[in-house]
Amino acid sequence: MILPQDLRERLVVRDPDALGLLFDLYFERVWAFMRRSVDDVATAEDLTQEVFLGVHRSVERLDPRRELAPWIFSIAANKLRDHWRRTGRSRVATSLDDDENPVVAVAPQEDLNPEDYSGALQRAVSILPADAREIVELRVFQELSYEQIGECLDLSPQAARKRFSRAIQALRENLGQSCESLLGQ
Amino acid sequence: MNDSHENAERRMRDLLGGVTGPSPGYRASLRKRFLEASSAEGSQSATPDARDPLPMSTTLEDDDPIVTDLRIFLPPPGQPTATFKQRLRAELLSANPGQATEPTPAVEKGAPAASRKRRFRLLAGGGLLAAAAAAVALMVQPADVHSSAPLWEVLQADHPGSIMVDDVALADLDSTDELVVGGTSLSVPAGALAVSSPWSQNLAFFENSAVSFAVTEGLDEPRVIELRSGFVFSAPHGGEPDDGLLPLAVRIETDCGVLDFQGATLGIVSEQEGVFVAVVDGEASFTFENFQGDTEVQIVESGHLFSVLRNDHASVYLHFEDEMCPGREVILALAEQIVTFAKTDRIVPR
Repeated sequence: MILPQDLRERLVVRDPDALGLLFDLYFERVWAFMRRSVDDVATAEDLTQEVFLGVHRSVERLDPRRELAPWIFSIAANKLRDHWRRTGRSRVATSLDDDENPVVAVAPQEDLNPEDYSGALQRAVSILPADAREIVELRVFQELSYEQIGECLDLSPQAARKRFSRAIQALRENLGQSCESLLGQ
Repeated sequence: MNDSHENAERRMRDLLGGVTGPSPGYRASLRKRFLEASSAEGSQSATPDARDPLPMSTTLEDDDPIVTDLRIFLPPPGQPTATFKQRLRAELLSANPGQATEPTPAVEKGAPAASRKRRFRLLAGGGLLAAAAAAVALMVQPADVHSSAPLWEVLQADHPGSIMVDDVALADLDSTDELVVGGTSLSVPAGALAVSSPWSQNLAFFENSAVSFAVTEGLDEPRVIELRSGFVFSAPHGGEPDDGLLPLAVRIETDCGVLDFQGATLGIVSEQEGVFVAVVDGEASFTFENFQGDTEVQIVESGHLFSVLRNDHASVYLHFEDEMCPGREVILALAEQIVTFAKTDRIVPR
């Protein structure tokens, strides 16, 4: 979501209307980001609150020339990483670079009924390494460009694209033979 | 490949795009609090300078994640660490009869939000005590804190070349290796300690030598910070360069002087842009070089309040008379003093 620069300038001086608009524009997105990333509602609520607390704390330092989405999701991504670090876990491996990360096909080998698609895909995503889930979330569900993702994660756009490609590859491997019916060729 | 990815993206959006909503009333409540907090600060921000270091929580309200009692224990000189730890545990238990001997860690996963808001205490001893000459243990009680996770991780270099996080080796390090912590790059010499907490993204205590710390995320320009022995710092972290820090070490060397908390009971009343510390009980001393270049020792007694560090490069000394729990006006006044002080030539960002 790109806000006009004058609106971002109003955020910097904590204009109440601009802050309200920011919240309204991003609450659902931040919530969905967190809810898809953690197992329970209460934790997602805590993390969503932390994101807006982070926004509150640093809004005065927002560069009005910057887009809001990468800024907010960089806060969200950091909060999520902090959460994983505090709890000592993400669901599985933390990195696509982790060669020890087992690739587990989660879908049954026979064709799935269409109503099973969502659950099978959800399981396949849930066992992705943390950085893969992170970039899938930003790219697929938050619909950020690679440039924006790079800004979020301190990566070049090319590196973001490469990481996403590897995440999709890992997802396909997780899906096994059901991949084609779920994600297409 | 891109077409294939686009298909996959579209299918995932179709199949997984929806999520269940938060608890009833959560959105409205969070929106209200967000706007109230932000607007309240905005209304106080008449000038750009005054906006800078304002804390979010300035009064001791139920919902504020404020530590109200922070005790720091020191091992007596020459006393073995193990003995000290035993004595410390005994003291903690005597101070908290009936409580468990282990730190109260995470709240049960999946517990409702209301039950996760609870009193807790924390004993961060362990590896910290084992390696630090000026070992520190913290007991935090009682405070209403939103916490669903253990409060501390300890990164410990308990022997040269090894950095541990909760018994899980992150990396084998030597003086030239780098450890990436939370998006920051940290060169860690043997013997260094680093502690991170949810309050401060990366809070470190270095025992042996100076290290350099390059922060690149969340800042307009990379900043290299040199830390000297005994420093406590909070590393800015992507997107949030101003998370708070907790005064962990009992002796803090800063550009302005040495802060010594021995024997004092401290309360942290704010965490943004440095820590405002209220001496609740006992006294702390702060040795600093005044503007004339003379060394002064300031004894900070109960009821005084001062800021330990501002950001990661400068230190500011303040104290406030006759206020145990300063309110917003006091904090604002202190913030103005910090800005004034930080603008002097004596505080030069590294």
